[in-house]
Amino acid sequence: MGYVAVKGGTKAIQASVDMYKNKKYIPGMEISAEHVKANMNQLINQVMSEASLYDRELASHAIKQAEGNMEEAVFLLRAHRSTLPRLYYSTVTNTREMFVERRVSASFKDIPGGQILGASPDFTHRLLDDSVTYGSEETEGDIPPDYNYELNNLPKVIDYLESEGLFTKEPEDNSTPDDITKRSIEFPSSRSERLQSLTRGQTGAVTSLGYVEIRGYGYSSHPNIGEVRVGQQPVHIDPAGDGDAYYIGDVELTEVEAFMPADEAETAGERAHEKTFKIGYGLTFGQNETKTIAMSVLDYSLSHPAEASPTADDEFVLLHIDSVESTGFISHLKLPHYVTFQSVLDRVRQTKGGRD
Amino acid sequence: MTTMVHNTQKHYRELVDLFSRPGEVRISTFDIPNFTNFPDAVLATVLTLFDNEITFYTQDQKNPGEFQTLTGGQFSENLSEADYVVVKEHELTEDVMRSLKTGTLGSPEKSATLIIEVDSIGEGRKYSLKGPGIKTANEIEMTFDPKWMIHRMELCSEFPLGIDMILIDRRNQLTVIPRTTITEVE
Amino acid sequence: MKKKRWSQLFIKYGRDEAVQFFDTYQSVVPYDIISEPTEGLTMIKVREHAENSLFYMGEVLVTETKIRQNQTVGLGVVKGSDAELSMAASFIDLCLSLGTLDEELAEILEALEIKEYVYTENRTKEILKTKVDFDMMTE
Repeated sequence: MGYVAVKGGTKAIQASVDMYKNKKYIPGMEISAEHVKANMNQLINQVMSEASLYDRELASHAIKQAEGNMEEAVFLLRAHRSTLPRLYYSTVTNTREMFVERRVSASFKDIPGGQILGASPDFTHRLLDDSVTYGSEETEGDIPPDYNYELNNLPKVIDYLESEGLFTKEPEDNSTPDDITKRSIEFPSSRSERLQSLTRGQTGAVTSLGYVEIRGYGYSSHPNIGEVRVGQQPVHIDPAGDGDAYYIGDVELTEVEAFMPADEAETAGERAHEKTFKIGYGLTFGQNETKTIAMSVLDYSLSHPAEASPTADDEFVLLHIDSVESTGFISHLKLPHYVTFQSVLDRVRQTKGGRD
Repeated sequence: MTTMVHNTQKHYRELVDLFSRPGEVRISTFDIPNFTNFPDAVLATVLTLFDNEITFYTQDQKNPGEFQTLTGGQFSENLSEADYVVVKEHELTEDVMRSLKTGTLGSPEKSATLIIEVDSIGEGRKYSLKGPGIKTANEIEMTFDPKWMIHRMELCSEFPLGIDMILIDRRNQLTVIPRTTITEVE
Repeated sequence: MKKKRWSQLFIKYGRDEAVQFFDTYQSVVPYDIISEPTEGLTMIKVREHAENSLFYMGEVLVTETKIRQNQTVGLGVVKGSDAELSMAASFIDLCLSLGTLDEELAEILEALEIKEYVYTENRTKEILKTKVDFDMMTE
């Protein structure tokens, strides 16, 4: 039996779309995007981060429309993003100005400014608990009596490391970053391409590859988290370019600096036999701690490639962690391939001695 | 309600038509407070084509700030960087013409578009235009020094490299000479 | 006052005050609209701390309004979809550039500074309740 290219199915497709839209509807159980926004903070964080578009309202809308399907919600946001003009580039955002709401260091107990736990599920029992209520009562606890804190001016752990002579700050590099939304990544990739690609990577993919790297398919060293920060980061624009910038709003960010003991080989040229630390860097939209830590691990492995390790191969990592690209490719496989498959069939049949 | 976007979309359509039919003349009715030293049709073209991703060059001190404010485009004093060059005819020099970028074979679109204010379209030297978008020949009269046209032919001699020109007169008439057009002075 | 400062006070702590200011005085200060409140994006450029280089981390939705009185331009760019605040911010920017309604604005900004202080103070106290005191462990 031969195949021919066919068209049709318009009515069936329309009916399928209707069925998809209608099945969401259970009378009295509908939720609004506002409900999503108010209740699904962490989901919104993931979607915004993977979509590379920061807006809680739009993300909530996308999540509702996608019935909570992450890849679909990210796709919707990316598509929406492509309809909007890019009006401005921010001035150089300095994360030292972040209003820190949570910051912990796994490396030093007594970091300047202290360990500030903020709001985190890290210290909860993972038991399903149907008594979770959203109380309006104040958090219990003592306010440190001696506080004269400026949470938007907390010292960074890397400063401490530097003051101990264990880390050497690089001079400021002000070259204009590459932008993978305007020009596809070319290999070998630049550092700005890597960071941009990692920060918008799919949470699961970035996390998995970060885990792979540590478990033994890459640099295989346990990184030490110098600092994880979550907080509100002010963003500014300076359209006139005269240094008098406007504030446009805060975005929530997660920032990670991971310490990696630098390789002998790496330091040999610089200061022989002297071990210092290098840093892997992670920064994402919203509170996305696991992903950001994994990003810092991958940033390091890609910038200091170990031989023959998959997680040191920028093409391997960067081209496969994007949510829209990977889910798009995998899911397209279910769409009609009648003609291509026909040609495969033809060849198989020919090898079997030819049957019409 | 008509917003700026409605106006620039309409103007964009006009420009596309003009690029497709070199030498055809249209009048722009774009109306907006104009604080530049150029006719409204020049400002309309700037508003339509510029955004914050482009780099432009213009000579008068007053105009760069205005273009920048309205469109976000980046002013560059370096002509060879400019995606758009907005000049009056009398400001053209051989240096200006020589500095214009004509793109690369891989990216011919990375070339300059020249927006020139001339005294008049309809009077002046007679030019005959041939090439894609023109059935036989289009004749156009305008006050435009032939020597610039010769410079332009040199810049456009290695297609797809070249420059595109939008000519606008004081009565807001526009015409376009893209890089594909062959011009002859009569 | 620097743009950075007043825009932060209005956008972060004084949305209602900004909109109210615009409603009250829009008829007093003549202006033309260059572009109505429009949604767009701002790409965030960041300095990372490993090699001190720059990268683009993603875009934030903004609403932009541009108005003018003759040569003076008022720009209002705010995070999110917020036409009202964007319009008000562009109006305030125009007033500040023109030097009109100075006193009225100064008064509002002064009040907003107090609002900011109170908010920051309370928020800081709240967050510092979760600050770890390691000395406690030896007790």
